[in-house]
Amino acid sequence: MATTAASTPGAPRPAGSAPATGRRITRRPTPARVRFRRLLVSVGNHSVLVGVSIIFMVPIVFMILTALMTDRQALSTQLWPHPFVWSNFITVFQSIDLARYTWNTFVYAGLSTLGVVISCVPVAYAFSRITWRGRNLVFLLVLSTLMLPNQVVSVPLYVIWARTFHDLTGIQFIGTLKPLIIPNWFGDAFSIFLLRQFFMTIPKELCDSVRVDGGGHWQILRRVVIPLSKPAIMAVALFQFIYAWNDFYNPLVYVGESPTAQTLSLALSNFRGMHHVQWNLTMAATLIFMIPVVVIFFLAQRVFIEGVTLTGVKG
Amino acid sequence: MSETEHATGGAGPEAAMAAGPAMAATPAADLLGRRSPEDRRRARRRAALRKYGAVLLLLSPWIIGFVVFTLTPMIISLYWSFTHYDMASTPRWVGLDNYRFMFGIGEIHGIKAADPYFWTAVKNTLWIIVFGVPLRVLFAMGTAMLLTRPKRGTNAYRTLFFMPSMAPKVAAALVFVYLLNPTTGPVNQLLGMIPGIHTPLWFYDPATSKPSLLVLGLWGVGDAIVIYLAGLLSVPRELYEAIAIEGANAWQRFRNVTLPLITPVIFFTIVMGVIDGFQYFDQAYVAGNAVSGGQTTVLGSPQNSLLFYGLYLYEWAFRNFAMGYASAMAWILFGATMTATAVLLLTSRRWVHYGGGS
Amino acid sequence: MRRPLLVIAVVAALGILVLAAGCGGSTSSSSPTPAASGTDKTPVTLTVWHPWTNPEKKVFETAIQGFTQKYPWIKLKVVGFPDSSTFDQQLIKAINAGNGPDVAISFAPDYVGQYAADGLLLDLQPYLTQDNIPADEFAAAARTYTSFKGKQVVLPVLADSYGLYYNKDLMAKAGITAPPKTMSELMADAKKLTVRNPDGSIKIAGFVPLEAWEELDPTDLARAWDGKYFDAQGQPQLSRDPAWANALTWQKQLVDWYGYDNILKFFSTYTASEFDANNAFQNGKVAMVFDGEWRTAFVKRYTPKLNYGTAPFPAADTMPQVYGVGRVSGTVAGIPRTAPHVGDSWLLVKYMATDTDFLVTLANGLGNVPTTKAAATSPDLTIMSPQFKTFIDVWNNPQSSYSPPLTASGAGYATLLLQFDDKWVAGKVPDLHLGLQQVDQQISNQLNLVAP
Repeated sequence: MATTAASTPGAPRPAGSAPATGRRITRRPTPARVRFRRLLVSVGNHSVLVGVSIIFMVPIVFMILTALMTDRQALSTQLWPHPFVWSNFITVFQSIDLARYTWNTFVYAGLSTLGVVISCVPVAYAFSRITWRGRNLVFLLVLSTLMLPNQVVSVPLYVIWARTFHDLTGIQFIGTLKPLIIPNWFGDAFSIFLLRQFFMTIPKELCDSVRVDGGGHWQILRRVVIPLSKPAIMAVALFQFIYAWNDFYNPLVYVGESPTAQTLSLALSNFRGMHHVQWNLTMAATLIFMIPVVVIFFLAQRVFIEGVTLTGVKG
Repeated sequence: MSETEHATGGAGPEAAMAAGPAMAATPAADLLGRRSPEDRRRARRRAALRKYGAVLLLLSPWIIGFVVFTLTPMIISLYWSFTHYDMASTPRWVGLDNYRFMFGIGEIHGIKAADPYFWTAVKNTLWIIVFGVPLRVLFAMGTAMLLTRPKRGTNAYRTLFFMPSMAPKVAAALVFVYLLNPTTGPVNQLLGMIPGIHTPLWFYDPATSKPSLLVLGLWGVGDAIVIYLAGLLSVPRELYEAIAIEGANAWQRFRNVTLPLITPVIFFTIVMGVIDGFQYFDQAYVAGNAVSGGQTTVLGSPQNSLLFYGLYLYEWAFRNFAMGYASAMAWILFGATMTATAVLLLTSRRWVHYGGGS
Repeated sequence: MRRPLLVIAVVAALGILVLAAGCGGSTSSSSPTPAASGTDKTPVTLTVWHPWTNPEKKVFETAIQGFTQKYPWIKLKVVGFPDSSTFDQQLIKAINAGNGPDVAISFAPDYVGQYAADGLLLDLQPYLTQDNIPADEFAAAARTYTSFKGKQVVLPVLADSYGLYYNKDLMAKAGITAPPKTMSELMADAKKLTVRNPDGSIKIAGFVPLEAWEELDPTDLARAWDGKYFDAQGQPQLSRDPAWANALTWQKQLVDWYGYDNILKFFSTYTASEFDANNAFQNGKVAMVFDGEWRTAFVKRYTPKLNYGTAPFPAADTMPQVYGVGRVSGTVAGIPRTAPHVGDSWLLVKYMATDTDFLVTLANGLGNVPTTKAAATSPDLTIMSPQFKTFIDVWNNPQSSYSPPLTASGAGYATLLLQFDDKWVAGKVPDLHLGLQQVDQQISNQLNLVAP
């Protein structure tokens, strides 16, 4: 959703408008007073925005500064690094197994994203491009799971993974990333909702044309719906990836005891719990943690915000 | 695409097409190409079966996931809420004892039994919702309105605001614990230079620990700003022109045009904010941990001011291993969330305008 | 057509429910017969969980190599847990999920009671008997926290004991010639040793009485008055044993003298540095502190020039006979019930608990108290120093005890007193006696609720 060059709501419109006849339009020059006032307002706006931006960026700036300090300095009241310890970013990888944790987090985020996309597209399709009795009711059921607190299901689900699935299959699930990834291959309410909203906007005629050619649902999906929905699918994928990357609670429950399978958010928290707490390394690790998220956002800004808008505005 | 099948009573070919790829073997038609009512009914039923079959197939991932990963755990946790269960032995049925303990009714072994910090957890959670959600709405809306004015540079601002909201909550919490350290943190160092200001202890003082979380929360308001911006920009320009012709001032413009049309957005952010507030966990876990002097067995420091419902539940489940009691707490949380959402939905009819755009 | 959907769903749910519920709580059989001692020498890898972090982690990993030399068919996979204070909970969760290690080492015996009552760790008595290890192999104090209701579920691997550290230079400056022996002296010295900044905040603290400060616990203060947590019937008696009220009153007096906000601010500045180079005591920011014997090793490593002394923690004025008693604790090692190679696991546990060379190396590196007579009297011990002797004495004092007392439900109940103490020192509790009664009740309730 690009900001249009539209006139700003609330600003006075310039005099003069298109007449009904074919006369040439002449505009009265805007008086200096009005121009000056508008400049003032614009400067005022920008100042406030710059101010707010600075406040938003301050924590990040301090994170970077602290990450470059020595251990002792990070705990002192000094704000500027003396000297700049760039090697902190390397030391972080040596102190805890950051490389492995990063890999684990990538695996979790990547595989769960793949699962969400693959499983949610058919489901959203069924809720949007086919009419069937009870459709709205079941969709409401899907939405209501969004309101289910994690804690209601997390404890029994943990036991199910630890006991039932283990006994049924002989596979050890706790302490691995499997319980985190697998449920995402069976749909996710938020993604279903997002995709469904988007699918509803696809013109009926396009789907019908596939029908006329003798195609069924899978053909419609393949030839019309999916190609047209790339932005929405991208948005869903991005949301899921970032959610999994930042996820703290679920890894805490399932891999909290496995020092080898932990994800970055857990490792970060453990950094704080270690006896030998070093704020400078903690900040460096945090920055490393945030880098993929920031990179992804920069690369896919437009898609992101489009996706966010699709859910928020329609409500 | 809708009820044509049912409404038309199935002119043969149409019905077959709408139902799917495999053409039904149409029974013999009479010379005029019409079919008997029974045949039509059978064709309709077959078409319907095919359609519902397709729907079931398409929905199957979600159905399986819902049954296995949502419904079953819910039923199990409901069962556990009536038991004492520590994971090492089988659950022992105790009826309503857990709920009695939670609400301080009745006795266990002759002693009046009450969970000492249950209401603390409830109060803390309600606090963060009541103060956090409106603050988020106001701040996001205000900033978004600022962003509608300038013609250039909005992209850059938008990015800057949105980025911190994508930071992991754990990382954000750690950063703010550091920034708000009473003696070594930059915030207090700067504040201390202003004469006459009493620098608060932020996370270390129970009176200011939750407000510190609000400050932390404001840093992550960027995603709401984006939503509000989109909502504000989708207000049709003509409405502003119309009201400007009548000579309305800025406040009237806002109250009569902008506000009503962004009520869906406000509603959405309120509902999501309330749902998230009930499950508040990450930031409180990290901040309380940092403040507790290295003894992570005590959650919600200082003085339980950061003991939120989700955190307390976690303590009972995974620190004290009282799974039965934790399940009871979880179901109460579910009930509260559903009630709050229902109330919001019902009262929304009065103030939310689904204008639906153009 | 919707009906079949619902039917399938409900049937599936019930089916899984039956499965899941039936699977709850598979209590394993009682300890395997001692005949399963590792006699077959087949190559095996044992996973060992421990909570040490660097640099102590490296010390352990070096010392344990002696085991691999002695039993070459056993390879060790050593896994460190960064967050030691949740180690036991994580271990319990893992064992219950069938995911535990072969050998577990824990810093504190908090949960030994739960390990024993729930059968999470194996009873090692049969193995001790089979290998002819006498009962007095380990110091008397160790036995109070390694077994519960007759089940010896862990063995001690070096111990900790606690006492008072004091900065001799700061004391000399304040004109104090000897460390305090009574609680009144401690309070008076703390006040004398405190140095304030011009704005009233604390520059150097004499003694920080907050329970969240480093190792201090309300139980340690109450021990000065010979306070006991539970009575003979196993009921909490914080409100009935006067020691607790005395201790908490003493504590609040000192906090009020500092000013609660001042001491809180001081706490927030230094609390993060307990175990690193910026430790407040090591850097002369705190004159006296209650700490464990390992602090001697930390001082040697970070600030060897510090002029400090140690003494037992003071006793109440009215109870001089309590002087010399202190808290004891220790690292413990056990075998989870899920361990597949019990015989080999036992060899490792036995080695760690009794091998003199290993214990001496570890003690020298960590600065912990040796738990066997042989290790304690070894000529290779380098940790002995005038300061360390205090801790050997406290360790050998038969009245020294472990706290919080072991229960079948672990140590979760102890949090209740800590939470109460935080409120108490902040001035939020108007009636101390009533408050302690409520804590007693809360502890009873919690123990009842959590009991299996």
